[in-house]
Amino acid sequence: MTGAVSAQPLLVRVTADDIRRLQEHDPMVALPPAPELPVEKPAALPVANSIILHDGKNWTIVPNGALICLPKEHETKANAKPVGNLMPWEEFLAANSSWLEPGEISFEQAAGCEKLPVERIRQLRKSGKVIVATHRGGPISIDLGK
Amino acid sequence: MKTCLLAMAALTSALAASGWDLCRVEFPRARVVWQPTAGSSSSGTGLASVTRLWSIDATGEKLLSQSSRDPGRVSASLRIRTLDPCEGKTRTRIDQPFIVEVEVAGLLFGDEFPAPFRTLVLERDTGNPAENPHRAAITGNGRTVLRFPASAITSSDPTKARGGEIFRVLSPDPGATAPCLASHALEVLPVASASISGLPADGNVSASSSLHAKLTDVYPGSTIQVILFPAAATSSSGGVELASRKAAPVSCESFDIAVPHLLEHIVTDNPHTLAVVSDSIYGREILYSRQISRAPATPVEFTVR
Repeated sequence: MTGAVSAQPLLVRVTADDIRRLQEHDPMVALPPAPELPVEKPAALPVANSIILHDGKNWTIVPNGALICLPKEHETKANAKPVGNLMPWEEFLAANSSWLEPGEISFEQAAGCEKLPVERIRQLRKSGKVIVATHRGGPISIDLGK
Repeated sequence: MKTCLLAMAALTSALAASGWDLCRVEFPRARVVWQPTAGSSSSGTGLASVTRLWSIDATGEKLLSQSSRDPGRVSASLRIRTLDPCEGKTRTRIDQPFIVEVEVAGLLFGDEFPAPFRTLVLERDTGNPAENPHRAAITGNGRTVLRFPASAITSSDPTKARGGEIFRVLSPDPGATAPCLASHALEVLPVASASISGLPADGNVSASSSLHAKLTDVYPGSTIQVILFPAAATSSSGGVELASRKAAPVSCESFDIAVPHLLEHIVTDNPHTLAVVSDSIYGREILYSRQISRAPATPVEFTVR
């Protein structure tokens, strides 16, 4: 494979000294010194702080507290060691609609400020599927502490 | 609320783009965690919230960006712009400039207010446990634009430095929903390097020479060309491309390229220059060059009778 070369300018590869010189310039030094900060707790890692749902080939995560219904026959599909590929919730739901169903609730219901739609949940439970609370399609935890 | 909706839309579109990125919104006072789907928007609760975009893969869980919203308190957003248009993550090369934009609202003015309400902290963390993160104060509302000429990640060979920088806007207010009001991670990649194996020490190439270009840390999406210039030095035009290869778009690559038919193109006894050139978003750069010549023909002795 041979051919003519385009006529764009050729640059010389940057050197270690070039980079050291560039790194000497820090625009943050022009800002005032920072005050003391309170100690921040690092953000909780999502997988360890979620419910894992898996179908043997793929898995997904939903927030802790999002599981409305877990029938006995599907208990093994929740909170086991994740196996296979991690899938986004929408894809996992589409692939497992035979045993998984969303239960749509309002934010106020998730926050415990309004009652959960008991009749709707009762109907969903009759389906024998795993029900995950969702808000606008996305899994949401339910605060049962209020 | 509008700002929150826009921020959410940006985060959820990133979720859709990669398929591996997870968006989580925590509402600490409502004790609710929501995982919005691609295209969905905030619920309009008006409650304090922290939105985090995570990347989850086989190597682990990495926080890509974070923003918090707390009505009635100071708010901040942070964005990093680089020359690399890569979608999903923010990426640059160690020697390349980038811009950090911080937008702040709600800071109070006047010594009568406690310091936590008058100041935010911008933090630059290069991930080096031996160094404390570099911090400075932001004392005014509006946009602060900082132009960094290069990444601050260090290495014994600075051209080979790689890793990640995280910029954060932190609140010194102990009552803030989350001390980190905004954050943005920047992936930093090294500069490519090249050598040619199989070249004789004197640079005289013969038919038996078997040459290979050895490339290391080729920038994602760039094209490597092995070019022969019919002169003692490289030039912007006039060369002949002997071989080329395009690097994968996701991460840095190292590979070899065979250099065929070299001798065919050395048509004179004048010195030529063999070069390895990287064509990337940062321009066309010479990674390696060496003067070469055709090996002198071995004299043949014969007798005429």
